[in-house]
Amino acid sequence: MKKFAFFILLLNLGIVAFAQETKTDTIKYPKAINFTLPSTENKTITLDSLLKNGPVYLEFWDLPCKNCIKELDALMPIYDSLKERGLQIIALSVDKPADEAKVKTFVKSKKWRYYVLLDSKGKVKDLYQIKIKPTAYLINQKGEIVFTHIGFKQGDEKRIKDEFLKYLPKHKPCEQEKSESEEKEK
Amino acid sequence: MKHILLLLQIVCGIVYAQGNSELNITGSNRQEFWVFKKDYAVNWEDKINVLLEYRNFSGKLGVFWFEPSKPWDEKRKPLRYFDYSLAYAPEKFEILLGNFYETFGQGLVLRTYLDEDFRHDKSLAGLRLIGHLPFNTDLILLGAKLRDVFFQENTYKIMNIQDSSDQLYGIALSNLRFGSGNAFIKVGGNYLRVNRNQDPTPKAFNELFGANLKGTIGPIDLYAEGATRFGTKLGIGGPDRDNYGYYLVGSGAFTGLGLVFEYLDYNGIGFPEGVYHYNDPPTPIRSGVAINRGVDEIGFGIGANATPFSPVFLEASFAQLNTHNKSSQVQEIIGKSKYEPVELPMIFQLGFESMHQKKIEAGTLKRNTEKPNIDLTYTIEDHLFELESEFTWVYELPFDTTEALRYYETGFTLTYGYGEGLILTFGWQFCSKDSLKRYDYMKSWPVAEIAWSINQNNILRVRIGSERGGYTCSGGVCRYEAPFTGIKASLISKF
Repeated sequence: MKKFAFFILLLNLGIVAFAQETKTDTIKYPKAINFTLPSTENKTITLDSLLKNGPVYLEFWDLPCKNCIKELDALMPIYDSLKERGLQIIALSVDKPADEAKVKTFVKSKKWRYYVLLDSKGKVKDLYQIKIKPTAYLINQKGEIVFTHIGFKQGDEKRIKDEFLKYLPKHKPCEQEKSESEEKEK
Repeated sequence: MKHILLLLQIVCGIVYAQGNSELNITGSNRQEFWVFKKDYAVNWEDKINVLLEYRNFSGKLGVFWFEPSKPWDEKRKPLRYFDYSLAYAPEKFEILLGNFYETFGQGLVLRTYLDEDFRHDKSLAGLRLIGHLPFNTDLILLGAKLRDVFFQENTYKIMNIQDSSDQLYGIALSNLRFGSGNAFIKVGGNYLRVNRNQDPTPKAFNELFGANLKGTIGPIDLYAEGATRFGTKLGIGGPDRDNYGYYLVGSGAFTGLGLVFEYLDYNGIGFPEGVYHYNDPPTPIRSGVAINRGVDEIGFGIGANATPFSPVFLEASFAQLNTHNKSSQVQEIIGKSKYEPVELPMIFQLGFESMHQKKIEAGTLKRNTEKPNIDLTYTIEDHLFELESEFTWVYELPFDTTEALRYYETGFTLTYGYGEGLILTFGWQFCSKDSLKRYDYMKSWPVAEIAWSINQNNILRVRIGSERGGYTCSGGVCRYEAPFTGIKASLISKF
């Protein structure tokens, strides 16, 4: 039994080794699983429909998770500066059903302007195999998970912003059309 | 069992070799390794999940393996189980065979869930059909058996081991909506029948009926849920009726201000009485304390959150829960303030928590705690410094003495973080009294932890030292955590 357990341990280390980052042009990104959930604004939001408008940063959080709230607070000014360029942030609450009202009032009192979705049954949390909160994924418009961020401490938002900038156009959508037409005229 | 585990590991190992773009394979693995200083005993635990998706089909495989070192006894012994599910989910419906989690309403009739942080896995195994009807309405049908796995006394137990063959049949209609935009009503109803293996009486039955109503007008939400339980008394027969539960919530969510009020009254709705329940009604106590999980409870809670001006955030809540005859009671007051100036890279938090309990913890008649706490975070380029501190005054009256205990507990945590991947934490907890059985007669608990994000998908944590333990709760389920001295290591991987 001990030998078998040791063997399993080694195999798990092998899995860790497989999960290493490689060169960007050889990476095959995993696909994000589509889902539909209600929001705190009484709308129904589908991931695939948001991806048509720009990349999505999907963060799993709940009320007791202090670091989750720190991250969502820290990203607010970054979101405000980049939303015009197409960035969308989903704060996906995995609080239990009885805390739904508390989530809505908390989010409104915080003045968060993200899409805050309610996954009280934990279905999407289960699909994404969330073990630690916060866990966040940056999903590009092809539906691929291009960046994963697990945990949060103050200062991480700078690195997260750098990742956002890799997948956002350099100009706002209407400005982009203007600059493209200017280039065509040249 | 070994072969299944090996097969799962191989599947995980070839994930990155997959070239089929329609087949999506993801997974996670959590390994933990504990060494107890007292007797060098070891706990080893591994939980691996693999999810396969192909078009409208999905399959999930999971293996849980808990292996304590010998000698084993009735309490401390290995636990291993294998979970699976197969689902087909086109647009209009979903059918699933295997393990799943399901909650009806807010949990007065049925509540199953996975709480990883609290190590509580309460799941169903059977068949579930969900029909997606017009107006965002879902109809759920299920037939399943419960498995309730809970971690306590440093080991895992299946809490319903005596009743693992009880059959559950349920039907729920949720979110039938009338109205549109920001003014609407949602209606739901649910039913659960429990056939208990323990009760061989021919006419034995237990049924729970529930209904819920939610009204929304702009920022105001009102939610009401009621449930009742009919059945026969276990073993002796005869009607078991007049069991009910009500849960009411009113909330107002305004920009910069949130208000919540909740009220509950449970009388015999928690079922069955004992160490596990098929349902778990909500508790208003934010720390998760409940008295008997829906058997005999009445209480309320009020909460408010506000951002009066930009760098300041305030929270306050008051909640009370007691039995109908007030023989047991818990009262909680929480206040928090957070100041995060734009011009400085710091966050300052000041808080206060008060908890007064009567006949909540085993062996304790009364326990009152008053706890101010402070948290300061400062960032200098890639370096993070965080100091957390709390001071708790305790008044405790055990059952077996008339002499009250007055003492204090204190704790400090200093955290240093560098760059993206490294966090070092040093902590120390102290109790002024050394004659407390609850803390194994110890007074001081120093601890050090390193958390290393090896890469985006792997996190390693190693913790060395002591933990005070104590009474801890989540969502109405509580346990007593024994003090720990030794080493804890965990590796969490995603792929």
